[in-house]
Amino acid sequence: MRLKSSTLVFVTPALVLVFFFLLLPVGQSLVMSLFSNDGKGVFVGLKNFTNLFSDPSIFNLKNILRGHWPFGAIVNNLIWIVLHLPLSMGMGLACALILIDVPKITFVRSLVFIGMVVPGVIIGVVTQFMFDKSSGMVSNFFGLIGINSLYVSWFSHSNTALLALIFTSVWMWAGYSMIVFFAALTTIPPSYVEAAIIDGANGFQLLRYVKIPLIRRSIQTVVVMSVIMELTSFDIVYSSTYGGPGGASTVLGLQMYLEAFKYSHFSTGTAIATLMALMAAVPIYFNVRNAVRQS
Amino acid sequence: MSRGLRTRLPGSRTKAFKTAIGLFIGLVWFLPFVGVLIESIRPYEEVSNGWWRMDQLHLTLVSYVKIFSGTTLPMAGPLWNSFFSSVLGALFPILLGSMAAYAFARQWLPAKTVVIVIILCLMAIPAQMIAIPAFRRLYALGLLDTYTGVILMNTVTSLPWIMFFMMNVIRMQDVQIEEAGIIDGASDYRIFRSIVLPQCGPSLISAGLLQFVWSWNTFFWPLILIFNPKKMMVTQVIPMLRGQFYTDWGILTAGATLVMVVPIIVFLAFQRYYIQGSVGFAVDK
Repeated sequence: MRLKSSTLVFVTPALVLVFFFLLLPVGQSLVMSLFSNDGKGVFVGLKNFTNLFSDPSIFNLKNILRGHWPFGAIVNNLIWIVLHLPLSMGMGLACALILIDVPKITFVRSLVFIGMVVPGVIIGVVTQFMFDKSSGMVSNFFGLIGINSLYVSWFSHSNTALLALIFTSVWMWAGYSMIVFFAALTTIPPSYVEAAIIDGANGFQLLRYVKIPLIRRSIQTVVVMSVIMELTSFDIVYSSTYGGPGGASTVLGLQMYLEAFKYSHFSTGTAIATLMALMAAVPIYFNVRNAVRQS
Repeated sequence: MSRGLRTRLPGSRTKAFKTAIGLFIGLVWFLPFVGVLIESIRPYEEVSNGWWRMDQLHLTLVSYVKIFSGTTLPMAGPLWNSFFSSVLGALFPILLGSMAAYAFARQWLPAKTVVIVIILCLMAIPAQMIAIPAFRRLYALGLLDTYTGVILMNTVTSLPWIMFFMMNVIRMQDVQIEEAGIIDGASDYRIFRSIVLPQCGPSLISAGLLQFVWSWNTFFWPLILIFNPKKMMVTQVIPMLRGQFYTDWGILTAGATLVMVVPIIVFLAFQRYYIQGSVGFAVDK
């Protein structure tokens, strides 16, 4: 095998860009996170990382033990994953199953997917129309059924702000799992479903033992993409709460932005970024494995 | 009652039930957007207790007039800035990505598998992980506060998925047509341009539309790379319309409507391509 000149022409522009603006920066961030913040190049080892865990805006142990908000960005990201993943996937699966059975209302698919199409900063504005006391429909719904503790502006209370953001991102992301599951469900041969029905399977058994096993790969893909999104959420937080009130709804992405681009603590910023990348390593690993298997 | 009818009845009842649930979900999912739209075309006094209250109903475009002329950041500039940098932010990665994808799919390259795996790892790397070194590199190149910087970062961050996406598309194509071209004496460039690219048409459209919308929606890169108000992108302007103490919700919702209308139109007009791209971007076929 011989390297052709045309091959070099084809791959060089893309690979040079990827090298200088993706691969090299990842390495540089890793290195930077091991040096001191003042830019004097003092090697501090893992001190930036251990410092993160004593920074209450990242990890507020005292409040966690007392069960009081704010808990810190890393806990908020974990809460985000734990709540968002099952809710958005469940919602997406429910929509996909309904739309497969009732093809007449496929326009609902477009409506649900719009959340994935509009910018995150806009979602951060739209969310006021769900969780604001005067103009939010969710808040007013709770007022209507008499639960006055939730008939409030969710974003101005530390114990509801993060939840409001998470529910908003469920609304935003359900469309993604919906279209992926929809595409996967349409590939299930009708004979499988018919055979199960003849064997006396009810709706739940059909879902649990026939449909879900057959779309396992798609479920894995959605989990991977969702976890990455949940770890890196930034836009909607920035444009709705900016991490507030009192840091109750802050996330790692926002803390990294603040440390690096507001306070010029570059090493702290890269340490947070590295932490995010390490947490994303598990879904990235599965993503790569699936992709390699695919090709 | 005949047996056939009796067995059909529960089925049609569950179908009606599912239709109702489906329509309800569609309504709930869409209502917040309706709220934004209505708030942008009604005076604030009328909607301050909820956009759904209709005791008084006046329609006005005053917020739209204000967003184009009444604020310190008239919206026409950012709309144009976002538009042309998103077009370029889609064209560059599509072109460079499919060139590289062709070589990966059809030609020999040393350590190809390793390169592909590295690219796959970078596909989902958080933007935060590259932000500071990339910021410094752009500063060194004099590309801070330029459209080029934003377009460059949009290009680079999307190259991995476009390369991988197009590589799979090209691999699935019939290699015999390309071989016929080689026999006829066409160069690799000619084969790429006249055989491979035209065959990839629908996939290129899918990837291009997704990439246009993602470039339009991107917020993190403009936020850290653009400072000059005249050069700002739409996504930067929206959070700035929110005051610390007072927010003009009319202007904010009018701005939000304008910014989201562009990707929504692109999505609705090319829905099939768009959804195919979104599904195919990570899923096994």
